[in-house]
Amino acid sequence: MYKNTSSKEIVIKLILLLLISIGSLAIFALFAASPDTKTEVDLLVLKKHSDYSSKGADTCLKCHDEDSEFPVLDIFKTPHAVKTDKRTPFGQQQCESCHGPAGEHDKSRLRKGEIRESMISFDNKSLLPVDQRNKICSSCHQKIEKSHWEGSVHQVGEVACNDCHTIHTTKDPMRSEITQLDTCGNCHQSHKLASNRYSTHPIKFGQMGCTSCHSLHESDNENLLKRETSNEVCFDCHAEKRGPFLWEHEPVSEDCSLCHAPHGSNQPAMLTQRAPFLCQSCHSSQGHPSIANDDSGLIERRFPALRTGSAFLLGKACVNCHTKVHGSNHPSGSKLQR
Amino acid sequence: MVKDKTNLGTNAMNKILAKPSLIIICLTIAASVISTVSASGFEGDKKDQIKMEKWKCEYCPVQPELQTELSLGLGLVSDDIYHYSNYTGFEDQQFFLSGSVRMIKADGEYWLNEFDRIGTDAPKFMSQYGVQGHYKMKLNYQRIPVRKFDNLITPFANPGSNTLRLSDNWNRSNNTANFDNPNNFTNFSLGVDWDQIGLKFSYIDGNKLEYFVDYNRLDKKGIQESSANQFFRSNYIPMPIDSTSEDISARIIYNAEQWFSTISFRLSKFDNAVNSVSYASPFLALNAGGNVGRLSTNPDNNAVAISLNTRYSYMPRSFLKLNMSYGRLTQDEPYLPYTTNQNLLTELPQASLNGEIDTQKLSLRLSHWINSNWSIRAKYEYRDRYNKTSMQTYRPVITEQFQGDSVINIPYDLTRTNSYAYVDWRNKSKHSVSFGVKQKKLERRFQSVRNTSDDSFIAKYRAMFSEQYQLQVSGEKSSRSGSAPELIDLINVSENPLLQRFNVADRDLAKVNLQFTHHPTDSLSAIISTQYSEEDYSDTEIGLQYSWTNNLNFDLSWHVTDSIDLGLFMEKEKIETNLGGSARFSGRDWLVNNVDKIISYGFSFSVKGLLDSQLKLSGSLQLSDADTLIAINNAGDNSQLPNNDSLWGIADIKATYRYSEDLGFTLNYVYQDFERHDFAIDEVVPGAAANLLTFSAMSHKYNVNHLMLSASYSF
Repeated sequence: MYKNTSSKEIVIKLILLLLISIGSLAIFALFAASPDTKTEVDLLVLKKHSDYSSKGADTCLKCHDEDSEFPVLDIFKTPHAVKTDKRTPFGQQQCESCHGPAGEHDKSRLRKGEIRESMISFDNKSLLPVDQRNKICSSCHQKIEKSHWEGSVHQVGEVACNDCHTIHTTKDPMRSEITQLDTCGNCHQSHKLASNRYSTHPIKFGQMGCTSCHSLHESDNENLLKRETSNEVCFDCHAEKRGPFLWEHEPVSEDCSLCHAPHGSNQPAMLTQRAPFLCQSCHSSQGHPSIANDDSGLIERRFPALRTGSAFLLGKACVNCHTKVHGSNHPSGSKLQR
Repeated sequence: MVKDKTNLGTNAMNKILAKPSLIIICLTIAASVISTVSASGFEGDKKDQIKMEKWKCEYCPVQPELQTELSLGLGLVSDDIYHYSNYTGFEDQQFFLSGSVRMIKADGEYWLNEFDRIGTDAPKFMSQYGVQGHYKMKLNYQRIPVRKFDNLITPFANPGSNTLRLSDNWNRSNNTANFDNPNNFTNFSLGVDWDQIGLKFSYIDGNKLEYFVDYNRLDKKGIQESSANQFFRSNYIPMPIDSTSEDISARIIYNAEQWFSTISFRLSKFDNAVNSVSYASPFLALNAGGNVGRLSTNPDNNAVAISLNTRYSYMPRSFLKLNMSYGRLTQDEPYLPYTTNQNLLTELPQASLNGEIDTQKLSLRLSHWINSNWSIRAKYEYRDRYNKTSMQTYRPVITEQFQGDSVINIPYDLTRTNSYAYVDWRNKSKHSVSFGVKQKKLERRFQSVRNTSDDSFIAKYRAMFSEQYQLQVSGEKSSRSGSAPELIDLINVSENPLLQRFNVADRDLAKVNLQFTHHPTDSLSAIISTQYSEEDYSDTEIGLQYSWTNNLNFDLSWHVTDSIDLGLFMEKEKIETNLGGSARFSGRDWLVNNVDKIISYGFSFSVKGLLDSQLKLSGSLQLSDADTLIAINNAGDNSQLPNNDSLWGIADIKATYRYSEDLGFTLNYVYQDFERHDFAIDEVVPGAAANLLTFSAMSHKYNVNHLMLSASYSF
């Protein structure tokens, strides 16, 4: 029933052992013969000095059409393809704005054994490191790069723009709230799991997305929240809790997540733990706040005449009486009862 | 004793201006050391040699200027399940309309309209007009139906009113067991509709300036659960909700070569059309005047904030950033009287709170690339919440029947100081390592533990061993210590001196995350991740003592062929906490162990290209099983509360048939099975607890077959 200390120690030791093993492997990998990085540098240098194609997108589309393995034509349904906007790829060097000059890539016939010259690609097999790929995107999307991206959690974590965004598609999944959870959940799996708990925000149904609370490119907040603090994010939709109140409840003014799990919880109202136990984490004055709420408070079903259900345990427990738990503005509400 | 707060505002500003950060200074000095950074960005040398007149884009698909797709659907739900429409808006049989109308001109002018589920309780609409690269206007609307429970009962004849009266034949009693006549109860449903409207406008002025104005409005209407007490007897109140939040913000962005600055202003207003709820008590009054009661509701409030962000890039990828903001929260709703009981009515110290809280923030960030392998990051942040609300003495009346002791209101204050410093290393073999230290300090005024400091050490390692194997490992070790507890004269409730509140108690925290990604082939991808965190409140005897979380996740994606995709996932998490307490106002004599578990697993598939590429099939199956187990050891006696569990299964199959280029049909079948048990709700009917009168809700248990047929036409 209670946490077995020895099993905890075993788990900690196993994890430390795993970390040491991985660390050793990493050190070995670092000093061992590393994969040939000459190719990355060569590609950048090569593309820097390469010739652009003779006909721009028409050169590319001769091969990269609707039958090709990676469908590209849907980009023409997106803002990236608006030629009159000189900020867009098709307002500049078309496909080669992002993928680099064609050089010899569009050579019609290759000699036996000759490998076609690479283009800059934006997938996991790309020869360019993440920061170089991102640099190409941010050469146009400067606002994102300059406002907070550089030095942010995602940038330091080597997240590439194409890890989240899909360009050659009519609708980028990250720009639709209903599909954001699947994309973010590729890395943030535990948060995706939390959306399957009993009490959650309406993320699974598309009324909210990850970007309803988080600003994924740009934030001064450590958790990439849209506002300065977690409370301010909550008050966007729950402004009734903002106060100030005559009688304040101090954890409310400090941080909503002291009591609530915003990604989802098994308890009603997304509480981290149900009342009365959550409340008893902070309240232990004499009398009813400090009693042990065990099974003696349950409804006695075996003897219906002896209805012994306790209002300290059943219903909303403490909140049955202390209903204004976020704060009260009633002159008689010092105990948050009204 | 009432503390003088008049100088706290000045002191706060002095702290902002005069508080140096040793980390920032050291790193700034370090950043001034000559360092080399490899050139960034990409542009070909021969860009000027392009003969643009030959780049005609003849093969580029030409999009029609106007594209419309309309979809008309019919949804059939097998049972009228109230909770099934929670968030989804689907209830019973209904027609709905979805679709889009898009106009995109060659000169960049566009007008996009999208609408979804029009006709249901969760409609959504978006309209955006503008000229790409110049300006944009956007309107969006959605309704979120929050549907909690139906078939509830209340003794009030008019649930949702702000003056609740008992049903005509109601007989008051001290024991809910005597409320046994179902005809004296009124049936009603619990739910609130959220209507959100947003208006955005943005304008680009040349290359350097952009302007943004946003307006958002949120209306909430419905009935929400609340409760009222009559001196250890409590009855649930069907609280009317009718409120509006409005938010308007304006922002200017200045983007130059080395400078990037944003100045923004925001105003937010909350209005509550219901300022109080009066109710007739269903219980017998203990004293005269106790037959009625009055609850306050959330008062109108306002918030305003102005902020400045500015970033200076002194070299490529390196910058200094300053963020300053100032805000104010106010609330001045007229007070309700102490009581409805004229015998106990006394004069209020003031007519309204005149509440005012100033918030201030200053943060400095540095990100510096020493060379292409090494970089450093540092941040110092100061945030202050200065509650200027006056402190007065009040004489509350308890449950309209008893005069309580005088109490002084306490306006809580907070000052936070956060700082971090990281060293990052990466090489082109795609390994990266980060080491960092972090400190969070909080100073809380009018709280027993005044100061706390969290000091953390963080390490992260990321490796891409090859195209096929990627690994991410991170760990954090943190230690919190606080000042010695002080007695706060203003608080007239004595807590157990052994109590340590978990947000201020000394604590050791350890966290480890591990994620491993494997792409054995181009078409197969597997991600496995695990997290472990442990919080040890070792010095706490009364309060939260221990908490640990462990989760394990697995995700598999398989692009079997060009037409077939499969997915599989499994996720599980366990959160366990120990809480100690004392019923004797001394050392610990009871312990609660709380275990929260969830396991979720599922399967998805997609098959395209059937029937000459006209038919696409997709589907998914997902099961989530969550449990909460609570065990109590009370002075040596072990007991267990009934499990609170929820089991949620969803099966979804969708067939999309493209009859022609313009006409398509979609058949979508969803089966949902949901079952929850909650001992605190189930069977808590009148009489279950003598002094608790609830709405007699029962945990949800239902299964639903939902069929949606739609036809879509594009033109």
